[in-house]
Amino acid sequence: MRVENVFRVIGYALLVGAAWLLYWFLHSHFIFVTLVALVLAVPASVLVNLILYRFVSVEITAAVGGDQYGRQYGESFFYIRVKNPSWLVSLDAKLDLEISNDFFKTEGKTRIAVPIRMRKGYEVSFPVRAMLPGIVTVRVKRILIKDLLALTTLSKRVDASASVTVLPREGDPFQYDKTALEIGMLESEESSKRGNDFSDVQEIREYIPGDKLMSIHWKLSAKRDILMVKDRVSMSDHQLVIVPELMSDHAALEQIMAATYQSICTIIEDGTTVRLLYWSAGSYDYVDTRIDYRADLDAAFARMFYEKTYEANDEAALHMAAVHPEMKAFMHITVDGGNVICYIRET
Amino acid sequence: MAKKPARIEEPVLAEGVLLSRGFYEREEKRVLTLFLKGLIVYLYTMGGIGFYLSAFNILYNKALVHTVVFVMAIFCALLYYRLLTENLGYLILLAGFAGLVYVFRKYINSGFYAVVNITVEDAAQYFDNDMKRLYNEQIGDRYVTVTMAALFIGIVLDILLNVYISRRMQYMNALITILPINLIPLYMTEEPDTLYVIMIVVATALAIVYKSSRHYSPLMQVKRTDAVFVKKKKTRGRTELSYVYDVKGLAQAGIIAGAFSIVVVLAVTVLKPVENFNVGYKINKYKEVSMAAVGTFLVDGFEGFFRRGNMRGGLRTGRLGDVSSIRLDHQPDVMIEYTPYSSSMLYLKGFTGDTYIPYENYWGTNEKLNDRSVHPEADALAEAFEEEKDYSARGVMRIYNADGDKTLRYVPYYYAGDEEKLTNYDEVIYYPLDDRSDLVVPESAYPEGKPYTEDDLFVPEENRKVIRQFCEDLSLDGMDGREAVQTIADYFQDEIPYTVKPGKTPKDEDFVNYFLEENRKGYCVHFATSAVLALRYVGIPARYCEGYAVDINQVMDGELLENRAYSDYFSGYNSLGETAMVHVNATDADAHAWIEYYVEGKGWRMADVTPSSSEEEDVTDFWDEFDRIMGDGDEDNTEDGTGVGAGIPAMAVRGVIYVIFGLLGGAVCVVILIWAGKYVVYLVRFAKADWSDKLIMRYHVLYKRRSRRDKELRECLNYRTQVTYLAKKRGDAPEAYEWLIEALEQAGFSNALIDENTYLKVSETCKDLYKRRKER
Repeated sequence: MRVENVFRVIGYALLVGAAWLLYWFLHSHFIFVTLVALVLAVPASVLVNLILYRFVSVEITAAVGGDQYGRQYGESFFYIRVKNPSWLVSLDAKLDLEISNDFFKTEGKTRIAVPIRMRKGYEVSFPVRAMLPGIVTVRVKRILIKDLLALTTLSKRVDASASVTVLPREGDPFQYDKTALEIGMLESEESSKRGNDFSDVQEIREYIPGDKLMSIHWKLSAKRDILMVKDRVSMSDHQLVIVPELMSDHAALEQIMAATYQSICTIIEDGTTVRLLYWSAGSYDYVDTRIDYRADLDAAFARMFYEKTYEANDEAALHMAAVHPEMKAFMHITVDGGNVICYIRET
Repeated sequence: MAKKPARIEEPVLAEGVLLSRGFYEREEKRVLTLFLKGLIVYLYTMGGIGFYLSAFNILYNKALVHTVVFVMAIFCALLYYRLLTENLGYLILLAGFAGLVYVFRKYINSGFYAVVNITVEDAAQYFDNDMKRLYNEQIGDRYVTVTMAALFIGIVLDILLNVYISRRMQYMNALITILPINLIPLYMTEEPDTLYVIMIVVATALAIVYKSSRHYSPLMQVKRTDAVFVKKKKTRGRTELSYVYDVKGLAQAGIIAGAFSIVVVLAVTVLKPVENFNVGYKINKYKEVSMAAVGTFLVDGFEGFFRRGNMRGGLRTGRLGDVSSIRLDHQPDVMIEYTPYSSSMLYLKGFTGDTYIPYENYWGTNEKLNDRSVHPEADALAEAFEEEKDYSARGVMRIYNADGDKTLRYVPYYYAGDEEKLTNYDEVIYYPLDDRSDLVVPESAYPEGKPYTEDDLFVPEENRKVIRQFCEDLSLDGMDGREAVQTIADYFQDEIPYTVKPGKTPKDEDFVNYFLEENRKGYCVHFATSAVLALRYVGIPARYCEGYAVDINQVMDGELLENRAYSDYFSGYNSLGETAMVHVNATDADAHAWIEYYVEGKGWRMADVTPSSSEEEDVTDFWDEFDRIMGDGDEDNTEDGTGVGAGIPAMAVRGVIYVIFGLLGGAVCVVILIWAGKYVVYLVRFAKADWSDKLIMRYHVLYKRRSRRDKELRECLNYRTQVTYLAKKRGDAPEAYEWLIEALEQAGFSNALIDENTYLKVSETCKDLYKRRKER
């Protein structure tokens, strides 16, 4: 417990002092009653607050309006519930919040003053508009409860949080240079569409979550009693691979995310499978995701938002020759001179 | 005047994360919150009024006062619902209130006087102080008048405290407003009823709790809106958001605070009852020291501390000059009981001036009262009465010197008794003189056969030049007494106006010379003094007199003493027929100066040379001032006191109507100015805005206009949902408006500005989209 405002305490003391002075001078019953009420009000207010403090708890949940993910520029909702099963009240409780975007590594602090009603507490609907994609987290760190006379404050630690994944906004169809890409696209596209597989198996390994079902080597899995997958190498020289750079610069990263999302949207709407390859600075390897549908794309971005960003604008492209020597060309999405560029880069 | 609400921005919670405007756009139940504030105002107002009245056991209609004060408190609080209701509501309220108060002013005045009189009586008893002076209550029914006064002060307090409480919850100001007057009964150890103690304590508890929470009133940013939350200043890198007020929370906290207060008050009252509270208590020594001063103040007012001397109305006992205006208190100086016998004024002489002292400006007088009496005249009249001559009469008058100059004795014309033996309360026999009677008073009837002395003809050298000129102008020389007096009176009536504010006689100026030569305006003492010197100058013995002159209208308004028999108090000729005994109060407003002049063979006669007032009635209080402003000060015909508002002068009614219409017209102008001002501000902002802001402003106007009648549109919270809704309503494909949504979002959220062409295209499309059309 701490004294909230010294001046308020002094002011209240002066009020009591004035009442006492009048009582001393007039010896009036009315002034006496008032004086007693003023004096008793202080312990009563503090006591009410102490009891209330024991009962109060905080919960937070998130919602994005019937969708699994939030959308950039759209609203996401966090519901903060201050629960109070007691019959006591506080007119001034403060919630200390931390709001962050984990992908863009931004963070801010906010304090919300709310009332705590009898029995029901209070629920704050906290609509947030994410201007950047990523994972937006709202965390309630503590609650400060003021007594009714606002003389003292009790601080209660709370650790409740909720997150919403915010995907880039859906913009205009992405315009890209198809002529260069189509050279290498046709075979894989056709084979994918026909159900034939012209690729060679490069390696057989254990299943990793995220692997496609069609890559599972069912026969071998049955034998070994563990899921095994076939890593394939396309027989074709050209593949539909998109490699975005996860740059730490906020403006660049926002543009790259938007361009990557739009381009994959456009391409998969054309019925073409896309392979999203991005550089994971944490695991020092590529994360390779096959995308056929919008749901694949959203899930891939949701995973990508957990990655660490880096400074260079060609980090992912640089490692390509070493890690994926078989990759002849890919669509590189990066920033140059402050503008996003998407071009076919040959290794 | 309240400020216009500011547009709410979306605050940045973290980089790339904004708090959506929807956070603010939820609505609070403002009416209920205002009701709570109105309740506090009612508790304070009624607590304050009931406190005082119950402490002095003053009866009034409690149910009516409680009801009206409660309704007015709630009404005043609800005025803060919107800017418009506040501005317009106060004007209408004040206009209506002023009208009602004007109609009931006599009741309200009397109610106040009743409360003051009761307080003074209690104070006189408590302080054992004899200096009692009561106010004249025009209407005697205290139950009614105190109720009216309580209603008046209740409504005034409602309006005043509402400003303190509803705006800023300034409970200290509220306490400072209601407590000081209530310290009077507490000082005199008079305690209020427990109900009113509870009301004040509960109101204070609620106000302290609400004020402490700082969540009782809309803050500056969202004044007059119903937003639940508001952004506060950013402190320590942290955005602070605060709820504005929560009516349920306020009500619940109010219940806790109120219940606590009631429990404490009742517990203390049970444990330490009021009746036994001061048993064995020895009065505080500082209070003891202050009691004399407080007693004087309560019983005698500020005048108890200050000798107001020349400023005060009443008799001047010959002191003239050094007066700029007279302040009248309209309190009874002398109380008279007699039977009216004539429609002329009744004069009670108290002072006779013999020798005028120039430049020092006063009338010297003979110390022996009987030397300046009119005993020979009285004796002659008595003789005539005994002989039952025509027009002769004898009356008995009771005279009580309540607050007049106690060194003087007041007697009517013509009193034959020994004035030296009179006290402050006497019953005197007098013989009225009718103008038609043929009264003869021989010189031998006077002591030593001299009806007058040299003093009665003395004119100071310093005044001779001015008086000579005055007499020459009026050709007084050679006239007999009656003719000269009439000439002087006519001259004064025609040439010199009467006023109670003649201006101060300058230092080193003589009162008479300054009056006749320079100032040429004055009141009775000016006229009487000048007339006496003028008469003396032309050889007519004359004297200056002061006393009280009571008008027949006052007599008619006096209290009828029905249990007194007429015949016991009057016999002989009565020009009014057989009247009855009445009680009349002569106040300082009735103090007067006149002259006595000697007519050879007929004795000393009195004459009043003061002209009738050409000014409007003297302004003595607020209502007189109000009457004066309204253009009709004549209120005599409304004095029946039987019906409220009955017989209000037509001019006054017309005046009230003018005032009300004037205020209403003013209110309409204020409303027009508010609306026009809003539009002008919009135009200025629009002119200064860039194309993005222009588009948003234009869009906002279209949205606002349409959403008033379209509930579904109101539920669409962003551009996308709004445009999609409207497109569907028109039967268009929402996809066709994707470019429009993007342009709006860019204008609304992006730092990249739109260009003029986009603005024109988008605004035209929006205009078309927002037109109400039937669904295709």
